[in-house]
Amino acid sequence: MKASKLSPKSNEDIRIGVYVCHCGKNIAGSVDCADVAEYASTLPHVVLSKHNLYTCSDPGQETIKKDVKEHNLNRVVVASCTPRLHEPTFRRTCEEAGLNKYLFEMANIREHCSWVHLYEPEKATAKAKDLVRMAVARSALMEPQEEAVVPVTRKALVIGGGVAGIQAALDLADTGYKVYLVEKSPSIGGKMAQIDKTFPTMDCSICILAPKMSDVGKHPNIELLTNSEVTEVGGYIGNFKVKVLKKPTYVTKDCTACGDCVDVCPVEIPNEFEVGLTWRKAIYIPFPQSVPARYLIDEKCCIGLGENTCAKCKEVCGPDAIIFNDKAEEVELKVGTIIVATGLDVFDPVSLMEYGYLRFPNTITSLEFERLINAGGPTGGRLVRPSNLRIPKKVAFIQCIGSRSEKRGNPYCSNVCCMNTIKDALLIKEHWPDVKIYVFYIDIRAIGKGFEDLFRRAKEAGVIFIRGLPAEIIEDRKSKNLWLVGENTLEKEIYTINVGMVVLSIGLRPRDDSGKVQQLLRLSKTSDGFFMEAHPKLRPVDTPTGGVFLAGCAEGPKDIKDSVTQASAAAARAGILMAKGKVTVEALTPKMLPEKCMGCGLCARVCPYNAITVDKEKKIAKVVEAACAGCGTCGAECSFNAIEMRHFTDEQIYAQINAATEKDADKKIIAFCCNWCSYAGADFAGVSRMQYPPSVRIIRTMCSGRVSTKFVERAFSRGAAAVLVAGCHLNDCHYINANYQTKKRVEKLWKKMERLGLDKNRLQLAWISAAEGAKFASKIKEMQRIVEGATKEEIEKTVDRMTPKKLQVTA
Amino acid sequence: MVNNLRGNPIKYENSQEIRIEREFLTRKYLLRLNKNLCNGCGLCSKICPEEAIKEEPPLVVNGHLEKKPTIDFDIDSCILCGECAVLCPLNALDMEVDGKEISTFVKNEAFPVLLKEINITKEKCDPECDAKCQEECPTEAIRVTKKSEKGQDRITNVQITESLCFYCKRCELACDHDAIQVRKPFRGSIELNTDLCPEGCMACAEICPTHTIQIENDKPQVFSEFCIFCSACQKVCPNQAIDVSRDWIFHTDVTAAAWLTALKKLTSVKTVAKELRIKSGQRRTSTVRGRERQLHLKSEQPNSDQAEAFLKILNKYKK
Ligand SMILES: Cc1cc2nc3c(=O)[nH]c(=O)nc-3n(C[C@H](O)[C@H](O)[C@H](O)COP(=O)(O)OP(=O)(O)OC[C@H]3O[C@@H](n4cnc5c(N)ncnc54)[C@H](O)[C@@H]3O)c2cc1C
Ligand code: SF4
Repeated sequence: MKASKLSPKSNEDIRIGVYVCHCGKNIAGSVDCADVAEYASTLPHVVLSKHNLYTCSDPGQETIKKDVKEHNLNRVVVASCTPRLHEPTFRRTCEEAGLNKYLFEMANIREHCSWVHLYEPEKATAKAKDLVRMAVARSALMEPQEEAVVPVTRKALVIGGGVAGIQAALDLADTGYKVYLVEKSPSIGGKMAQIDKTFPTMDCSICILAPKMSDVGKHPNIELLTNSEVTEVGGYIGNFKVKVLKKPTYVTKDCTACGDCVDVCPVEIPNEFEVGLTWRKAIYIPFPQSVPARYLIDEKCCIGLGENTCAKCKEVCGPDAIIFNDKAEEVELKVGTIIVATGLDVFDPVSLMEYGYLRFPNTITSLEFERLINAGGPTGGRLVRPSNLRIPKKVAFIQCIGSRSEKRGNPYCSNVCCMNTIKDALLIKEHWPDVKIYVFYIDIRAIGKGFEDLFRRAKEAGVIFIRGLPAEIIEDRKSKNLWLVGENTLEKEIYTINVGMVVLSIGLRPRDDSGKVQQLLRLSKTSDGFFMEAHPKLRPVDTPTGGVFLAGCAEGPKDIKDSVTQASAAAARAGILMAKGKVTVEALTPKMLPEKCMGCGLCARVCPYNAITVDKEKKIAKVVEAACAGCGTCGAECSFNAIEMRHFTDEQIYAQINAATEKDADKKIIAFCCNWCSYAGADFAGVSRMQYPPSVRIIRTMCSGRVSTKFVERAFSRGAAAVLVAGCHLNDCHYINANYQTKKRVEKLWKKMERLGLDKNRLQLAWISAAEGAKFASKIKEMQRIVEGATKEEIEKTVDRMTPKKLQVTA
Repeated sequence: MVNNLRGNPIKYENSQEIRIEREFLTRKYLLRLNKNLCNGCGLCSKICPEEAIKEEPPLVVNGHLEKKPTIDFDIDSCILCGECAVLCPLNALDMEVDGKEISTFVKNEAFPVLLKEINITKEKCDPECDAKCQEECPTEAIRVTKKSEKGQDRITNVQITESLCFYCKRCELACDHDAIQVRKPFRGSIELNTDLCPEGCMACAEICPTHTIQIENDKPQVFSEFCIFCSACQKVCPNQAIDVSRDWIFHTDVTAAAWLTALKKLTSVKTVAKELRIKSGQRRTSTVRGRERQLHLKSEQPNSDQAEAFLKILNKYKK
C-alpha cells in the first residue's frame, strides 16, 4: 500500500498529465484554454493534455483518475483556480488514483490570470501558458512525500465569553470534550448581558442569557477562567500549548455574594456595565447575574492594595473571603482546537461633532438607551432625559452612526442597529404610548426572519420613519431640547424637528484589543478589521490557521441569533477534528543533508520555532519535526545547500524561475508571494476583479522567509526586469517572525545591487495581507513602470553581474 | 462644555483654580483647588492613595521665591475620594458631592474629619479694643465691625469665616482678653538651622502662610507658636536648613485603616502606633499620655475592640 502511494520510484520515467479548466466562462472568458492545452502538450514530460469545462466536477475528476491509470501518469498538473481553494480536492483525486498527493501541482490561471486580465485575452493566454510551463517544470521535480500523523488533544479553548463563546463552550462540553473558557472581564455574558430586550422576539435579554451562563458555571466539562487573558499560544493544530494569565481578584471562592463589602467600600468610580451612567465601588460584582457570582476588587482604584491599607471590606466579610495578597497566576493549557469569540466594541460617536454626543446631555447612544430602559439599570427602567431626569415627549433615533460611511466611522453596515432601533421604538411605545418617535435612516434593513413583521408593527404603532439623516443637531440652551435639521430625501424637503432626546444608533466595530489575539493566533483581518475566515462562503467559521475557528461578532457584525448559529458551527468544526483524534500535517519540513552540513548553526539561529538543534561535535544540524512549522527560513539561510525543503526544494523553485523567464524575461516581474498573506492577497485581487498588468509571474512559497537571496539572483541573472518579494505584515507573520529574515535578506540584496552598480529599485519588498488585493494590484501597476523603465543595457548588466562566477566558468 | 453625565472626570483650569468635575445621571462630584490659597506644601500629594497629585517644584532665585511650588492632578488616576480636601491645612482644596461640602471618603466613613476649631467668646471682647485679632490674622478670616459712638470707635461685632481660617493661633495669642480659642489640627515641631541659610535668602518667609518665619537682621527667625506644620518652608528651602515634623493629628473617631496610611505618611509609624495604643486603651505610664488626655481625649472613650481590629489589620499588612 505504502509503496504504491509513494510511487513513482525515482528511476521511473516522468509522465505528466495536464488539465486546463474553463471554469465555465470564468477562465475561458479571457484565456483560450484549448490553445493553452495544446501548448502544454509540447512541454517536456507531458504525455497528455486536456481541457474541460469544470475539472473539479465529478466527471472532471473521474477523467483524471482514469488517465492516471490508463496512461500511467505519475504527475498531474491542473491549471484552474487558486490552490488555496481546490488543491485539497485534486490531491484527493490523485490519491484515489493511487498517486501520492505531493505529485500534484496547480497553475492558478483564474485568480492570477483570467480574472485580472479580463480585457486582454491574448496576453492572458500567453500568461496562462507561462503559468502552466512553470507548473509543469516544477512538477517534474516533485517527489512523493509521507505525511506525519499527529494526535489531536481532545480539549478545546474558547476565547471570549459572550453569547457566542458561551454557546460554543456548551456545545463542545455537551459533546463530551473538556473546554477551557477564557474571559477577559470578571464575568461572562458579553454585550448581550447589557441589552434590555432582544429583537425580533422582544425577549428579555438577560433572562434568556442567564440560564446559559449558569450552565457554563456548573458544567463539569467546562473550566471557566474569568478575569484572564491568553498570553501565549504555541504549537500547532491538534497540539496547542496555551498560556493564560489569571489576574488577581482578591476575593476567594468562599465569597457568598452577600454584598456587605460594597456598603462599606469608600471608593466610588464609574460603572462600566452601566456605561458610566452611574457609579460602583472598588469592590464589586459586574452585574447581579454575573457568572462566576463572586465579587472582586478593582486593582486600579482600590486604596487598600500595595503599601496602603483600607480593608474595610475585609472587616465586614463574613466568610473572610478577601485576600489582599492575591497574585496573578499563569496557567498552562494543552488543547487541540481553539475557538475565537472575542466579540465587538461599539462605535464611539464623539468624533461626529455635529451630533453633539457628550456635549448635549440629551444625546445618548443606543447602548446607553439599553441601560436606561432596563429595569435593573440606573434609573430603574425609566427612560429619562439626562438633563432633567424627566421622560421626554419626543424621541429621535438616528441610524447608521459610524456605519456605512468611510469618512464618518466604518464603511460597512453594522447589521443590528436598524432592528435594534425598531425594537427600542416599540419598547418606548409599550411603556409610554404618548411619546412621539422619529427614526431618521438611510435604508431600513429588515432582512432577517420576523424582522419585517417587527418593522410593520413599529409603523403601525405610529413611529415616524424619515429618510435622510440630520445634517446637524442644535441644542436649545434653556430647555436642552434638540433641533434636528436635515433633508427628507423621499419628500425632497428640509425638515427641522424639535425633540427632547436623541438616540444615536451606534454601529459595531472590531475590538481595540483584537490585534493581540490576531498576533497570538496568527490570524488575518479583512479590510473592515474583523477576523478573516478561511473562505467567506464555504469555510465561514474556519481560519487560515489550522485548528482555530471563529464565532460571533469577532468575525463580523451580526445579531445574537447569527452569533449563536456560528458558535454551534464552530463547535461542530472543532468537534470533528477532535472526534477524529488525529490529523495529518503537511510534509513541508526540511531534510538535512548530513554530507553537506558543516554544523555552522546559521539555520538554528533563524528558526522561529527553535526546531533545529546543532550537534557541535559531529558538526551537524537536526530538525525536531514536531516543533517545525515548515516555513523554510532555514533553507533560505543555509549557504551550503545542506537543507532540502520538502515540496518546496531549491530545484523546484529554480525550475519555476527558469520556466517563467524562458521567453521575454525582460518584460516580466517575478513575484515571490507567501502562501498566507500575499498569495492570498493576489487571490483576493482576482476575486475582486482588480485589473493589473499581465507581466507578473507569481511563485508561491509557504513563507516569504523561504525566499533565498539565490532565488532573487537567479531571477535577475535570467534577465527578469523586476523582482517582488511579498510577505505578511511584519508582526503578522504566520511563522512568528520569519519575515524579519525576509526583510534582512532583501536589504542585503539591495546593498549588493548598489555595490554592483545596479538599480536596486528593480527589487521590491512589500507587505501585503490577505485582505489587501488592492495593494497587490497597485504594487504591480507601480512595478510595471519599473519594468518599462528597465533598459536593455541595464538588464544585460544585471545578468552579467548577478550570475555567479562559477556558473559562468562552467557555462 | 457641559459635563457629560457618563462619569468621565473632566478637568477645568484657569489662573485662579483647578476644578475636577465628575457627573453621573444622579450624582455630581467636584474637587476644587484654589490656586491663590495653595502654597504647594504637597501634603495632599503625600497622602493621595492613588498618587494622582503631581508636585511642581518652586523656583528660588537669589534668595527670593520667584514661583511658589504648585500641584496638579492626574485626572486618569484621581478617583475623587477627597482625602486631599480633608487634609489641606490652608483650605485650598474643597470637595463637594451633590453640592454638599463633604469628601467621598468621609461620606463613606473611611476617613475622619480634622478637629480644628476657632471660638470667640464675644462677652469677653472689650468694645474699646483695637482689634488686634483682625490685624494679626494672616487671611481675612476675622472681620471686626466698629461703630463710631461719640467720636470713639466701639466694636459691635466680630465675625469669623472658618473656611478662610488657618488655625494658626495668631489671634488667640494677640488677644489681651482671652476671647479667642483656637485648636490647631496638627501638632509638631519646626526647627531652623540658620547656619545653613544662604546669605540674604528669604524664601521660607515668603512662602509661610502664617508669618511664622520672619526676616530679622537678614536672617529668618521662627515664631513656632504660629506654625501650622504645613512644611512648605522646608520644601522651598534651597539648603535643607528647615525641618518640620508633625507628631499628632487631631481628628474625629473613625474605623478605617485608610486613615492610618495617611497618618503614617504625614507623621510617622510611631505616631500611628501611639494612636492605636491610645485607642486600645493600653495606656502605660507616660507623660505624653497625660497631656494628650488633658488636651483632647477627655471625651473620647477608647474602644478596645476597634483598636484590636486596627492592630490586626496593620500587623497583617506588615507581613
Ligand atoms: C446596542 C446594541 C443592541 C443590540 N441589540 C440586539 C438585539 O436586540 N438582538 C440581537 O440579536 N442582537 C443585538 N445586538 C448584537 C449582539 O449584542 C451581538 O450579536 C452579540 O452580543 C455578539 O456576541 P459575541 O459573543 O460575539 O460578542 P460579545 O458579546 O462582545 O462578547 C465577547 C466577549 O469576549 C470577551 N473578550 C474579548 N476579547 C477577549 C480576549 N482577548 N480574551 C478573553 N476574552 C475576551 C469580552 O469581554 C466579551 O465578554 C445588539 C448590539 C448592540 C451594541
Ligand atoms: S443596520 Fe441599519 S443602522 Fe446599522 S449600519 Fe446597517 S443600515 Fe445602518
